[in-house]
Amino acid sequence: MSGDDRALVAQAQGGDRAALDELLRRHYDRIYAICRRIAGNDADAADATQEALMAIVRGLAKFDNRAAFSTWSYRVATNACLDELRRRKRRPTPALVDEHDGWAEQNTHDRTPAFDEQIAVRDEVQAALNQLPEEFRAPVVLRDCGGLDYAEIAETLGIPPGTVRSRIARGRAKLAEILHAGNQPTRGERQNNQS
Amino acid sequence: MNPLPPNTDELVSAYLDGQAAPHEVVIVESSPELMARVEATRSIADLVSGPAAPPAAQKDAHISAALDAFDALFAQDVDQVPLAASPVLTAVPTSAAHHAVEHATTSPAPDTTTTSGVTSLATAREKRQPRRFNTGIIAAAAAVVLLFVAVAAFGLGGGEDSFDVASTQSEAANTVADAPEIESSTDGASESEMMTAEPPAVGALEAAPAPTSASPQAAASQPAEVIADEEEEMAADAASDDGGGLDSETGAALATESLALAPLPLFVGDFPDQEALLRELEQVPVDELAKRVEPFEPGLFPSCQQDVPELIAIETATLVGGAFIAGEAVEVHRIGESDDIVLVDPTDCSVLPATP
Repeated sequence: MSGDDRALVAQAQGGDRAALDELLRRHYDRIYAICRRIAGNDADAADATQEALMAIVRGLAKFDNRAAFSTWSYRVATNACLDELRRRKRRPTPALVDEHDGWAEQNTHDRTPAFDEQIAVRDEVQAALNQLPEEFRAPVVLRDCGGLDYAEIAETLGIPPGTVRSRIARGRAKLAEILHAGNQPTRGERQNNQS
Repeated sequence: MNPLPPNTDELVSAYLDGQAAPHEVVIVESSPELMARVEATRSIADLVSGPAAPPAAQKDAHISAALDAFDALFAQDVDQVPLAASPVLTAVPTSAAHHAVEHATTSPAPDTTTTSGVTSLATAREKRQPRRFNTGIIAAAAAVVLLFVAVAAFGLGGGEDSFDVASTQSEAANTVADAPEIESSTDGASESEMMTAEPPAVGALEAAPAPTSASPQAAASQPAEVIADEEEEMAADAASDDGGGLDSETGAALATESLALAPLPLFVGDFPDQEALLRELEQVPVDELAKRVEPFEPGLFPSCQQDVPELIAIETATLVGGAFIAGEAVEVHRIGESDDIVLVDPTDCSVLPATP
């Protein structure tokens, strides 16, 4: 996979649009997933994902294959998300965002009990993640969603690997506590936490 | 039953991720209780890694916009430098100016890691003392132009338009200063703006559409944060006019002038090369340099600061400016209280090598 990525990167750096298309399609879902988990809602995740793609395009010329393309792109995505979060803190709280806008709405005709359950679980996990402070959420997401190892996460977040290890452990422990205790905040509380 | 070791969560989590040391693996695997906790932790990790599928239409639109931006970028670069041969990738001699004499003959050319990119403004200031006269003349001329532009702006635009332009400029400057991935004028732009994917161009930031956070509504709701006073508005107006017809040298001088008038905007200007940017920075008094970190909002991830080894240990903000060098955005960071400056590429937080 990474070998294929390397070839695609080289072609894209040479101006091959189709190669870039393939590269972005290959990693889009994972980039979006990371943004979704870190940003906490679909709207911010969409903005951050678009930012990340633009940043990848702009930075591609300087990408030197020292890291895997996936690692680098997840790093770019993480930075875009954290930047989006920072901007969100600076601007007025947006109107209430449906926790599963877009995806659920698009699939109303296909909805089954199992699908509803999936949505519920997804929302529950996301709500729990949203309760984690940013410094714990980002490493957990990069590990579990992005599949980065501790060294890569450390490089991405600019913190020592030992700190990554402890933050992931504490983040997961806190997630377990929240999920198992059913200690879910109300939508209003979540909104307050995000603003 | 043996008591659980301390830091059990960490041990279990590291084991699950395959990041535990060999002796830790032995500890975990020899304890049924710890193995049970591994499984419990695995279920949490699986939940987090579960699908967060994007709407298909959004995926296509995002990729399409990125490809359009790619087309525009590549079309631009073909006329200049091939993408893969960008300056950062090539082996540029990277000794910092103040170390060049001492190490030029004995040290191998360092790579593009951070230590090579530190530039001492104090040393450069001493070396360039005679050049201030010329720059002073340029600055004086720029002041006249600035005054002219400001008067014209007030005469033609009216207060509200001026405010919008100033808001956009100021926010864009802050975006350059803050964002890890910021060189595009589309940074923070609304999605519909991104779909059009205007090609980034030299000086595009000055003419960039208002980012999402600087939309008219947002700007109106945060006037105090965006613009401090009329003087700053004039400076921002003048700076925003830079891309509209002034040559880059005058534009850079204007940016410096506006910097002297109002220290809030972090955007320094658009420069043909690194040397020109450093020359402008030399003109900024040390006290002024210190003040320029003030507009920066402290946060957990202050742009590239936490990615640059020289800056990681510094608890206060180090970002003192944003600029363009040959159309590429750079961040200007100051090392502590010193006169040393590092220029950082915000796309990957690598330090630009100092020019020999």
